[in-house]
Amino acid sequence: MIKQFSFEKFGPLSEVKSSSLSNINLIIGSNSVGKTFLLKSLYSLVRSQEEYNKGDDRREFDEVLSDKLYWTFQIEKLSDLVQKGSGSRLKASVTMSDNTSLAFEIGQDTNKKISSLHNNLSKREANSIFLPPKEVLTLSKVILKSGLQDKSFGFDATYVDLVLALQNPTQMGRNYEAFKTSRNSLEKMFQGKIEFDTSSDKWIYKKGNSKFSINTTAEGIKKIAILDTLLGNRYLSPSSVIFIDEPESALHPVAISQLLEIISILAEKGIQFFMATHSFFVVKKLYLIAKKKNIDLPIFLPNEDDGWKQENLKNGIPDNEIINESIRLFDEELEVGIDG
Amino acid sequence: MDRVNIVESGVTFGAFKQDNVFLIEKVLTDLDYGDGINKVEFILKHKTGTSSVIFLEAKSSIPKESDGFFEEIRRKMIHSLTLWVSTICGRHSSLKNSLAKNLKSKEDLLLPIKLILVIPKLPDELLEQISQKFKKSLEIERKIWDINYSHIMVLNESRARKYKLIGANI
Repeated sequence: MIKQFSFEKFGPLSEVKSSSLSNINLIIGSNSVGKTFLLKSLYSLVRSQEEYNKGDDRREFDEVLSDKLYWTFQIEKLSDLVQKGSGSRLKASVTMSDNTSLAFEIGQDTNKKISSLHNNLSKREANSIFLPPKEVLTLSKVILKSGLQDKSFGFDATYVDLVLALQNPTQMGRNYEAFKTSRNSLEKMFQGKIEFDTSSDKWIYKKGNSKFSINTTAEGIKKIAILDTLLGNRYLSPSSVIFIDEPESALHPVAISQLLEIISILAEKGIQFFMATHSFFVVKKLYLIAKKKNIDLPIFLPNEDDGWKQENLKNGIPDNEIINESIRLFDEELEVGIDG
Repeated sequence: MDRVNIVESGVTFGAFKQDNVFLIEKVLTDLDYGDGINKVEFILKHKTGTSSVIFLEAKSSIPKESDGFFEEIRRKMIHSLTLWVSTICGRHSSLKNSLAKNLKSKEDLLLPIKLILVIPKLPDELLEQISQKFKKSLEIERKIWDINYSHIMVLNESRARKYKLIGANI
């Protein structure tokens, strides 16, 4: 589990530092403040450690990290990640719960190789994943062709990694009880399963005895099905970190609440979640989960001076623009007249 | 034990045990005490499961210009809370005997505090937003008094009934 992180001059992130993190962590803020960037930054660091020394890959860690940053952020050179300004250097670090850490810097003249690097992270057997707002099933072939065959920019590494992760076949036999419960709940939500049909080389949606093309399947179903598949094919394990950008996208508010309940069960089992949201429902539901389960739930939000602050959602929903807009709409409604 | 009903904004709150209710507005008016202090309708020792102390204000409607409205409610809540606490602490000797029997001990100061605004005819679909506005107006006070975020709320008649503030016998 990620215990702490710190980023300075990293793209749009002037400075964001966490104190202690929890199994569920939330990021909010208006467009372009760097929520997705923060998720991707954390993902790149953790995933690099997971890919390092895997199988026959003989790349040094700094190469793995450089590649991950390059393909995730799709930049010409690493120095493109450094926030512009005289003499500024990008500084990034993560500390895991076993107190091992990864820290590195990138200067404005860094092209490909990261030089200033400290890494004593333990070897990670777990797999982490990034779930983007849009589903990837219908585009899986295009994503693989673009990212792996053509080696061209378009779909970043988070998409390619996700499509590859989904290719693992669903495993039979015992799964973690919490995963089994969560899969049942997820499948109940969309009343079916998705499967990869090897004969047609396509993803299909199965509901009862009927099969449907994935192209005609609702966006929300595909989104939920992706998590279900990753739990079923054992790509995810209790030490995984899951990054979800806009968990609310394509989902009805009822489904958002159900998904977050499932996420809280998986978090209890050990999976760590980082989510970025614009949704009032997500913030409110997570507040209620934190209260009911009496768990700390760090929430990160931009402050007035280009930095970020961390608060604990368990103690209440901090003043933020999502709530403020809800109030503004209320004021507007009052002006229109609630009596008709 | 005698029960009390309080009629405000077109609804009847209660019935509550007399020892659990401090009719702050009425008492201060009768005693001609504290001119200029803003008061809620009543303070209630609420015993459904865990005990708490409720500061309740009732309003029949919200004006179109709502900022002033919420500021007025905020003042009523905080003046009443401060007055109640300072009375228990012994700073208002003439008021202490008027406090309800179950709302005058120093142990009561440690109970959860709930600040509740009841607008009986408020449509359900507006409850969330109005509660958010109410919470926001009391954000600093919530921190000062360490009040649970969920304990600052706006209720309509059906929710107040569910919450055992209307149609109750407690």
